[in-house]
Amino acid sequence: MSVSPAVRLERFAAMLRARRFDETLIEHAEMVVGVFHVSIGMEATAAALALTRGSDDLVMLNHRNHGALQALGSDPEAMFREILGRDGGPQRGRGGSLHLCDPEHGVPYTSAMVAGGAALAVGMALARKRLGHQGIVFAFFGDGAMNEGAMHESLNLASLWRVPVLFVCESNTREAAERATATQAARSLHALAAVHQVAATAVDAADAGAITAAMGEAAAELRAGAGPRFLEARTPPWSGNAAFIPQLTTGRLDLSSGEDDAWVQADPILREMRAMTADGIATAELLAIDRAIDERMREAFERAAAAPLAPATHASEGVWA
Amino acid sequence: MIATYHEARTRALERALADDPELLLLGGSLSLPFNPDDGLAARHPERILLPPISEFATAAAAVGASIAGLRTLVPVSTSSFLFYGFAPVVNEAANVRYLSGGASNAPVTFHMMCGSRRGGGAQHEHTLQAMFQNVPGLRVIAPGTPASVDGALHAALTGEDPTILIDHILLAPFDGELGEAPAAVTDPALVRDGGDAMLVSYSLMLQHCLAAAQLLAEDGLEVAVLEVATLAPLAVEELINATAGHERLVFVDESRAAGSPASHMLAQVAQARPQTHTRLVCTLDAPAPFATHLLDEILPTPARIAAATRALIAA
Repeated sequence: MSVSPAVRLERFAAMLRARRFDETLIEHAEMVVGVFHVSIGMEATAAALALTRGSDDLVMLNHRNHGALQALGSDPEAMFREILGRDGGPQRGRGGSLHLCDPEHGVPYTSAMVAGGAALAVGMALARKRLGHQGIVFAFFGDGAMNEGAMHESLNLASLWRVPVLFVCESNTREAAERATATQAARSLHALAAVHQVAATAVDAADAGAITAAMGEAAAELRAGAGPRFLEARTPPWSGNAAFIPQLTTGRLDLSSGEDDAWVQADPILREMRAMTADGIATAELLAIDRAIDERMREAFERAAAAPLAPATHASEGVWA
Repeated sequence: MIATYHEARTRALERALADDPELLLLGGSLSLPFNPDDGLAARHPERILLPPISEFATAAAAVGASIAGLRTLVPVSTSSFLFYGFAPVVNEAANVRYLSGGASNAPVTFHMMCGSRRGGGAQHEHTLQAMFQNVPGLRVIAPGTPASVDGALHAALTGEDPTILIDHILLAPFDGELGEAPAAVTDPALVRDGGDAMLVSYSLMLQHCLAAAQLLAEDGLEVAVLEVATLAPLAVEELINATAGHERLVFVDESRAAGSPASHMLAQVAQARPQTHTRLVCTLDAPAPFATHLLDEILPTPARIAAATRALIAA
């Protein structure tokens, strides 16, 4: 099922917010205390989440959370303030990049432990079901989480209890889709979910249309009362994602060198842009959307960077009720 | 009225289930298999979800549910089962309010049997309270009387902090006064008065301290016994005030001494009043042996507590 032109532009903007946020951060990496993880290459999945999430749905993200939050509509200045340890950061300087969350957009808390958030999501969905509340729970995690026993316990529990969780495995380090790797003997990750009787499929997550359709379909099944679903979102690996602090100085590519041709073909944003122009959407319109977002990110960063540091009193608050 | 610890625990849980119709137990009983059946599974099957043997996922589901507005109580049974589920408790539940900037919290309760049940051996007789008290954000309550287990369950199941209820299999038959209304946890609580020394403890060791006080009374020594049920956050000022009348203090703990609740209490009191004379009576640094005569070589027994107290008074 394809989306309307207006929704397609909305999705494109969500992808660009995710990308330009991270690029702005990479350009000022020296100002960030501690580590941060970017979501470059995963923007189509983030945008699909933004289009699919209903107002009653909850989302569990992970350490690589910037892109999804930007796609969902979180305030970039607030996020930059948090990442830079400035006053006005929504986690009050206590969470930083690893734990960015935003209850207003369905993200009540963010665990940075591999498989940790997906395990919590099962309980959130149990709460939805027991309390008779509307809404489903999205659990985002990487391919590495599938190595954790915690993940398999959680898939089993979700399946036994038939709770409304959509497990979204952002597989962003596996070069080949159907082959064992140095860390995973299984040839496919969705097959691992399927053995727990969780309906599971794989999708090309660099194809904005495909991932949007797959996520929408799975969510609709969950809303209709189906048990948990699992999506293996196959995402093109971006070399900068591997490092704690991205080694690439920027995600903005100089296309003239030819060195990045493979990435240019794989990049979900460029793919979608090519598809949109092929479908008759004016390039100028797309570039105007990008310019506005890029400008917004730069301004948000500048305001955040100019803010005072979070007050010292925040360190010991919030421990006890 | 006079009630046993087991009766008080069961009553408190019944009250909590009646007061909060949404409260869900991820496990079938707070008492089985080593204490008498509390009858919960028979009386409230709809309030119980029995998880598979899957401690990580169960603990995480309980924490996740609490974040999403469903209060859960997890009967862990033997505390060491939770080693598989440690991460969701110490690294998620404890951090939810702090890391979310106060936007969310995780009012979940984990109940577990700690200490030596005798004959369980090294893998089933751990003292997790010493580990949990070092995790900021976890409320750790270890009651030692019918009144304090009543208050502990009430505090855990109505509070907003993730709470660890440290229970002990051998506490079930001890009796004591139990009021009609839910007791508040008042830390510290003087459970026996006496002027020659003061014993400070919690959980089963509180009962051992009372037994030691009885032994000492036969020698003509009158010692006070103070219960500190809330191990974290420790009510430091109240502890210092409650011990103020005593120059000789014995801190008793079934944990090994290093990083134990008792050693923390001792440090706080000694820091505030350096002239105080103190003793620390803890389990010796060995795993719990299976044979009970070997176990008694390492545990704080009433006789060992009494001996340490006599030595302190004589010094």
